[in-house]
Amino acid sequence: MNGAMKRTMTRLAAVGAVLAMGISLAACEGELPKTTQASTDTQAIPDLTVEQEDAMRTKLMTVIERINDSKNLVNLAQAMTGPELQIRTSEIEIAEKTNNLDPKTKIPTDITQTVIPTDNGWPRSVFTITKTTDDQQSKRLLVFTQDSARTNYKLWGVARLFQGVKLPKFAIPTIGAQNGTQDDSGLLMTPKEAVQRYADVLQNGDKSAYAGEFADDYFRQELGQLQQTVQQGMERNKGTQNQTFTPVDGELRVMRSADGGDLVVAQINSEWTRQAGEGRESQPASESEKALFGDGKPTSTMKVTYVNVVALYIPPKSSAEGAERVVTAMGAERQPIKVEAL
Amino acid sequence: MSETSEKTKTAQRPHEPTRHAKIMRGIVTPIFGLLAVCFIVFGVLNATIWKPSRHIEASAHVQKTQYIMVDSGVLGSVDKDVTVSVLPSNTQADVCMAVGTQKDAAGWVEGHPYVRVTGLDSWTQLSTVDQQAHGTASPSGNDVEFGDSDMWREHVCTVGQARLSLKDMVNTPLVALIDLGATDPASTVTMEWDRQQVPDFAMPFYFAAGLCAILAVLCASVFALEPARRRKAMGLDGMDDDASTFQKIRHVVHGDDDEVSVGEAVAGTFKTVGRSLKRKPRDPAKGHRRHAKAEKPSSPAIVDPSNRNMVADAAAAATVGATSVVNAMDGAEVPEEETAVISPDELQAYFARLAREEHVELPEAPTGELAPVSVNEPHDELDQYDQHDAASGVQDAADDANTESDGVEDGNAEDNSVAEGNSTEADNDADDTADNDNADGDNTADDNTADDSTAADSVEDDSAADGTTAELSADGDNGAADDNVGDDNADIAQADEHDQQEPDEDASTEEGTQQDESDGPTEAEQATSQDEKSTSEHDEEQAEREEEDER
Repeated sequence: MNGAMKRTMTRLAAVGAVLAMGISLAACEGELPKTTQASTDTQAIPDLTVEQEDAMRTKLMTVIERINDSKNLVNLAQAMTGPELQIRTSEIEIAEKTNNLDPKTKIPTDITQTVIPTDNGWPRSVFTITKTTDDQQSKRLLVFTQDSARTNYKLWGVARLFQGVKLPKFAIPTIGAQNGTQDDSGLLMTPKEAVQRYADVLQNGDKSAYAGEFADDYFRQELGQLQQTVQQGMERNKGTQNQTFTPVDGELRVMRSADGGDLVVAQINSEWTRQAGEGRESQPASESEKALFGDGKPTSTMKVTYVNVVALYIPPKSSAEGAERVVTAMGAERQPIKVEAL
Repeated sequence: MSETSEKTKTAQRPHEPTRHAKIMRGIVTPIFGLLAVCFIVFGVLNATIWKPSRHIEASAHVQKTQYIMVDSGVLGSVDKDVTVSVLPSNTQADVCMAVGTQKDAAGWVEGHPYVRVTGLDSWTQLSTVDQQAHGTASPSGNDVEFGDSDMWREHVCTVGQARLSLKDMVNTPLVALIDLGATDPASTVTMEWDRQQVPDFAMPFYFAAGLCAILAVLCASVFALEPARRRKAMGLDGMDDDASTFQKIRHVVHGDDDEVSVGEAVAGTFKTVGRSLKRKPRDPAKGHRRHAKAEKPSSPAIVDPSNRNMVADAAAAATVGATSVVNAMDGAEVPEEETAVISPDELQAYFARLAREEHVELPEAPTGELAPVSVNEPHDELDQYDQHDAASGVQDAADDANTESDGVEDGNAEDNSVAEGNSTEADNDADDTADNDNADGDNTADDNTADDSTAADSVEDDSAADGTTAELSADGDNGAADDNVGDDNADIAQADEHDQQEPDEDASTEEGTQQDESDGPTEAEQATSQDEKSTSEHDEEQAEREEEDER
């Protein structure tokens, strides 16, 4: 009996050993995956996807539209910042007075191009070019800015592009471009210099020392014409007029183009002082000024403050010679924000 | 008859498995078969019960941190689709989870400490690392809520558990950022994947099972064959003319004179198994001689010249020793080159010479004494060869000397006594062959030379089997050859069945005896070859004996 028992126990032990070995082999999940950092980390990643930019822009436009309709400026600062905030505020004030929002405030929802930066830090700017408006107005260059990680994008500037102007090429949004700084080198002139010189050219016209560095553009022409007209009127009345253009420090956004140049969007404030001679009153020169001036009492001197937004394209130093070696204004915006009777 | 028995016995040989075949079929093949079965079982288990699970769920418990960042690469580490869920300890807390780029998430948590989920510790545990705050937090009036930020690709903000299902997370620089709120949070982060591709552990087992099965089949069939048979089974001829002498010995000793196909080898395996189970009352391999006659030869008589030589060699070895075998072997090669068949004429000549030699008194008695030693030995070996009917017939005739009717036996006895002295002279096989051919015509009357040698009777019985060796020594026949002529004729009538064969032998013997001593070596040579013939003749004689016994 003991022999039989022993054999049985041996067999049971063998079966148990086989099962134990088998179970220990059981349910291998395979090798644990190793998490490797994606190789794309070394590559620049666009700050926004195209969908994200669209969502952001749509959200902002919705808020702006609502404010346009309600004429309630309380929340405008949530959607706008910088020069555009001032411009739109003025526009809405005028619209309140005249019950008619300036058509130039229209911003189409469809875009032709968006330029998204790959910057890791803040502030960041996104340049977007819209299509022409329904009533055949020119395209708008929108500049959105995110000042810090915890804030959202806001509309910083809008410039109406000149007719027939040729924008520089930028990297596609899935690759992303790069924001520039006001001191970018390798260009015909730094963005800061460009804005300063352009302001001088605006102020002095062809008599400016830098007139040759800038291509003739629609904005200069218009301003010149306006000034001439007002000058003639002033001379008839033995008055004087003076307009000064001053770039605003820090209000400058740069996007580097694919060919090495920079597209600069900057704010240039201008003050227009008109003195009527011979004891006449200096009246607002336009509907907008009139609306802004409102019920003020005109005096012989009137000072109107304008906010100008200009878009300049600065070619790289190594670009072709000749006609190319000038800074070209791509678009501009001009809006009186304050009318004072001094 | 004897020929039939030989054929029968030879035909039974293939069923007798060799030791090599037994090992291969009985041990190695079952081992491989068991291995194949085991591997298949393991393969099936790995494909079913032990299959790696498709759903992977790993979690980590995090405490005292507001922000949890899942590193890039972790989200898509197991599968491209992942579901991330966060369960706060306080189920009423607001929890937000978002997916964005690494730089955006890092910018958001600037100035705050956070916990990083860096990977998988195990298949159920996530590994975490505490990260110190870097930079400084600069809150401003324009700050937005976590869920309102423009930076996130996807986000969700709920009360309690937040789940986010993400797709195509492989090779993306995205991270997940979780905001648990500022109020002393503790939570559990869980990531779930459904693997689309699980590791296949079954295929290697199936592959190994296939290999073992193939090996088992090969071991049972091809590898179990003798190398010679295997070569034949593979289409090669195992016994070329260039085959070494050792191969030939082995070929003969192991008895594989039949070509066996692979199918027959496998069939042989099953027959062996069946036979062990059935316990047949009679083992055909060991069939007794008396039954052998009832069995017809399974195949036509295959004449292998080497066999003839081997018979002579065996007889020579029995009497003289290894050297004779060697000599026989040397002699074996020659006839193969010249003759392929023992013609009846040759046998006739041999018988004639045999009969003649029987009557030779024993000048070489010493050699004759050795004769008895080898008398019985060639019998077993002689059984192998179908073609040695003539020789066996001669031997039978010699054995029948006791029955008085056969003088051939006497002659054989004398031949043996004489032949033994000359057995060493078996080197001259070539000459013997030629001489035998020449002597064929003369040996018709020499078969019954045994009648003359009454004195040799005593030695006859012993030397009957030694008829082969006796024939080798034709010298002693000198004197008896003439006397035996007449006797040969008489004996011829008695040994009807072997007329054709015995006369040949006697004729050759007669020649050997007729020749003088000068021709002794030649005669010896002849005798040698004739003795080789007589090996087969011995078988014939044995068959004759049996038949005569039956009569």
